[in-house]
Amino acid sequence: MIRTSLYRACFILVGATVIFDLGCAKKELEPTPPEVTRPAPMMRPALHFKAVSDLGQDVQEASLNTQLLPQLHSRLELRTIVVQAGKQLTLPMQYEGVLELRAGSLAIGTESTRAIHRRGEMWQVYKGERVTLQASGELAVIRAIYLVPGEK
Amino acid sequence: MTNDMSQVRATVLVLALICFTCVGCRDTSWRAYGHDTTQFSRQPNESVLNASTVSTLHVIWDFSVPGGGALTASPAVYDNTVYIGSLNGHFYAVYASGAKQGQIRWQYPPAAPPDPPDPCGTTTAPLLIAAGSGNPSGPGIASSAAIANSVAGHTAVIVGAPDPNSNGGDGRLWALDEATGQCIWKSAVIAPTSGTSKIGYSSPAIAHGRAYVGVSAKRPDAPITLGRVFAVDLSNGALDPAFNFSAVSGPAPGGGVWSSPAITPSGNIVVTTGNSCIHEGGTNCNVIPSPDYTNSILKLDWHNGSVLWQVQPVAIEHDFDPDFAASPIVGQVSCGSLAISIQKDGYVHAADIKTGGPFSNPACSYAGHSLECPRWSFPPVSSLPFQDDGHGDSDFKRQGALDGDHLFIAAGGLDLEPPPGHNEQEVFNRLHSLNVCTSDADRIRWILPNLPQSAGGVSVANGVIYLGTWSPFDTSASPHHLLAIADTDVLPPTSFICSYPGIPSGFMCSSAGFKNVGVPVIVKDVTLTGSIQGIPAISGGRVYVSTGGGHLYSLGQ
Repeated sequence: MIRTSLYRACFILVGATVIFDLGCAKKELEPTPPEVTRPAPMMRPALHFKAVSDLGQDVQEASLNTQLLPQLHSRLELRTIVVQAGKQLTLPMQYEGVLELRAGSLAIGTESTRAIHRRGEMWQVYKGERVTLQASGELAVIRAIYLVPGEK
Repeated sequence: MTNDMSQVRATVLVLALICFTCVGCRDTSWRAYGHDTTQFSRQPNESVLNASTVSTLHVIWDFSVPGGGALTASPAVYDNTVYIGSLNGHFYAVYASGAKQGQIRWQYPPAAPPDPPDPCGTTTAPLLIAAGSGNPSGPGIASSAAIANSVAGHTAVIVGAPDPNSNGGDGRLWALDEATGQCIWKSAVIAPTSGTSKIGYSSPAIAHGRAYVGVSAKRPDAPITLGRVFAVDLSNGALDPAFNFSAVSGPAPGGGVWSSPAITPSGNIVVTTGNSCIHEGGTNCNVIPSPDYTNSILKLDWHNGSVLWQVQPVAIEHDFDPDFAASPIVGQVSCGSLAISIQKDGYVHAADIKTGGPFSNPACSYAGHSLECPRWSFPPVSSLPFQDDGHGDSDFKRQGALDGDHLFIAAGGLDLEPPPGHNEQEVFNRLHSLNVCTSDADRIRWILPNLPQSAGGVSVANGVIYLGTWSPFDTSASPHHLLAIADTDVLPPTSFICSYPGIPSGFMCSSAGFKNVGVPVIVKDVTLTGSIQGIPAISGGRVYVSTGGGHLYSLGQ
């Protein structure tokens, strides 16, 4: 009686194992769900970088936007400035404005101050000021917002 | 009847023995970077350390690299031995426990050249690039070791390193006998010194009788090199000529592989790549390469290296150095199979691995680029690729650890910039736990803010997260911390914090549409000497931690 029960138990165990294994075999290792639905990207035109003053390829800038401010007889100029790592570079400021570090890490110096800036930090610059820049990573990216007077 | 009873007893005994053997033979080794080829950095068989016992964690032994030499690689643990290479060009096998714990079992190169000479032409010269490295991953060994069985009849340690006896440091893979350190083979040259690449932080992934490894720039992108992945035959060190992956196809270089390849459940390869040279200057760098596999997570066919899909979150025109420096985490979770990695800009991206391919999705593609969309990104994004100037090097370079659906990672968070008036460092001094299989709204499980330093290498076992703090490229003896953190599933949080930085927790947070999430308990904080760039390896009741200060620690109860 017990022997018969044991045989039955073994039979059930083997059967269950086979079924379990078959189930595992059918399990998708890398299921392929439907593609993610998103709005199609609206590609902006690529920025056109050019060298800043006589700094060659070490500092380049591209214009992002220009906004006239008639009541202030001025215009806002938004630019992206890319600073290569390595050398300490001196950038003469053409206009008054605000700079924001958008990417990378940058040591900034003026006649009166010197500071390490990280992403997201902003600082004011003045027309005629000579700002020294030294990127500590491979690249630093600055957003420049200049107030250019004399525009109607 | 007696006979039948005997049979029953015998059956029960056999079953009990099988169970006992299964438990006793659980593999507690940590065989590779990120534990294994999935790079989950999770120890599934830890039976000693848990949230209750880890409070007594302390340094059991401290192996200080003889003569000094930073350890930026992560330790591997196998056969009661901890394996690690140093930037000083020596590879060390150190006893993990027992009477000789913390002592050198063997080192390579050996103190005296082998007699008779071995197949590798081994001398006593350290494995260094003689000149022109300049890379924080050099001039010696930054690649973490992997343990491979059946390597020409040996169990071997496979590691990438310069060959001092070959053109002043040609980069190769080396197969060393795990018990003796004898060199079994050195591979054909992978990164010639005459070129611009080296085997840097990339660690070999073992699969299909091959070791897969990538190359990155010899100097930190000066110049940028051509990223490639190689497949090395484990039986003899020959390069598999059928496997060919290059991140770009001329005329300019790009796409260095700074990370370690991972293997998908069905055996394919996932790699992450670095930046192009489009904004770094150089010959032909104004030309957009085609194909362009830079700054991407890629799934490759393991047979030949062909690309099955590509996720490139930042359009190449806006590549301001946001490399994927972190390795991918690849494997099965409750919602399928995912490949997860973090870009240096602080964004985490998770892609469905999928069967077959090639795949692409017009929703994330652009001219000349047939790209896949990630399943999700963190912080969430409505549209890809990014086309702004905010994606650069913000030092998010450590890939985190995965336990089930729970990811533990040093990520940028919902606001990649600190709240007004707060120090930028706050963004780096926090660890996130993310649920990889839920909606964006519920992605954050908890946040551990205000760490003493930037969050670095992470591993996990039994709901305890081991986090090293780090300072990128720091090889000094400055103090850093190893933290043992209890997941909120095993110990309740100490307090709550708003998922969006700077917003007070409570009603103000929830009414602004964010979540109040827990702050987990730091169960133990141990101060160690040197920055912890590598992944803490958990094995047999111990945690093994390497530091840029040149120390290899064993911590236990």
